[in-house]
Amino acid sequence: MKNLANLRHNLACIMLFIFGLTINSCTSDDEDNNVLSAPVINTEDIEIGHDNSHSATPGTELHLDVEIEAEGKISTIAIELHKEDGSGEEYEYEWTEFEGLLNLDFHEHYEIPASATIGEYHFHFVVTDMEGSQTSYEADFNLVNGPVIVATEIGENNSHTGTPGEELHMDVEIEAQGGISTIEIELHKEDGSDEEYEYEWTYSGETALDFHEHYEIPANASTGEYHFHFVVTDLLGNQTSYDAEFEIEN
Amino acid sequence: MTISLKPMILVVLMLCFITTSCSSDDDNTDTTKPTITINYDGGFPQACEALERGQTYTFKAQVADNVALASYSLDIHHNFDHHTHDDQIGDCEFHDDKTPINPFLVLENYSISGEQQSYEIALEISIPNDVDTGDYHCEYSVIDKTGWRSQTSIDITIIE
Repeated sequence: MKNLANLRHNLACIMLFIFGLTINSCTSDDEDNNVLSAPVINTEDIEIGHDNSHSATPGTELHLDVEIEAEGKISTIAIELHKEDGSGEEYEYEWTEFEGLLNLDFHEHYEIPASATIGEYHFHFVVTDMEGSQTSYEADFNLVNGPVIVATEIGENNSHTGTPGEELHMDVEIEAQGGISTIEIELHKEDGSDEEYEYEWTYSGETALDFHEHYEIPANASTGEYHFHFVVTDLLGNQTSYDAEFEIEN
Repeated sequence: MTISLKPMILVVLMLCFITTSCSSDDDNTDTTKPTITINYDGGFPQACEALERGQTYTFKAQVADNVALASYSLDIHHNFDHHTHDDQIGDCEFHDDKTPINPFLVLENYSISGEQQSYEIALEISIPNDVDTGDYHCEYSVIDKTGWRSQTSIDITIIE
């Protein structure tokens, strides 16, 4: 009888043990592991191209600034630019050095091949995490030329001369697909002295401009041979300059 | 056998409770990113700092994490077209935009060994005489053992 009582007791304990195991199993953990969110791209503070212009110039760097969070940890980050005209022209790049990160303020520069043709493109930014989940951001994109300058008149009747205290007259046609940011002129003397004069005009993104301005040459400027520089900078940071000989005479 | 198995089974049962408790939950509870700062005595470079070509400087930043630090990096690249803004206080006076010819470039990565919660980055960097002068970005980043990353970006200038 005593043995039978012990056996019953043991049986009860074993059942309790199994019950204990059941209620203790970590079911919630398993669910959590299966629902790691796909990578998140912060599309509000994204920068694709200078000042988020969604444009760049072949042969220059495309700036990218993207905030990413990835519960499943970042594996790769890839970009793709493909032309919309169906020509098949496309450029790709993949970064693998951010593997294992949960978050990243991605700030990289991609050099667009100088041979890329200008025109409308589609831009893709794809983050893949270590679980294989992907999130992508897509946008329209333009490859544009740097500023083009045609100087039709520098000085009266394009004489490339000026007089101290008088106005230097300039007429220059400018085309800038990236939008004009600034135009700067510089006159520096060729005799090795530090004598130089500068002036800058600021613009707000005009893509074509018939530049017609007058710059007053300081009255105390000495006469002689100068170098004249006319520099157009677009909103993407591209610069084109027109350089010429210039003479200040009385 | 007259000794009851009950106490033994109870012990086993308790062990079971302990070993099956959800300890794996704790592994992923680090939701805190590491910190990084140059805003202390010795932090270098400070915003808008002008560095001379031909000189050697010790770049210093303080990093910390609630669990453990894993690695850090220093990235110096030109900002001749003024593409983005730094995150330090104050606006620096930028030079004119220019086209890079031989821009200075630093890209260095180092790991932090052990389980350190704070660390001072100190890297000796020499600026060659032939690099382009102008505006640059100096970016420190730090990664903790969990995989969180933080960074700080400082506008600096390289002068003659």
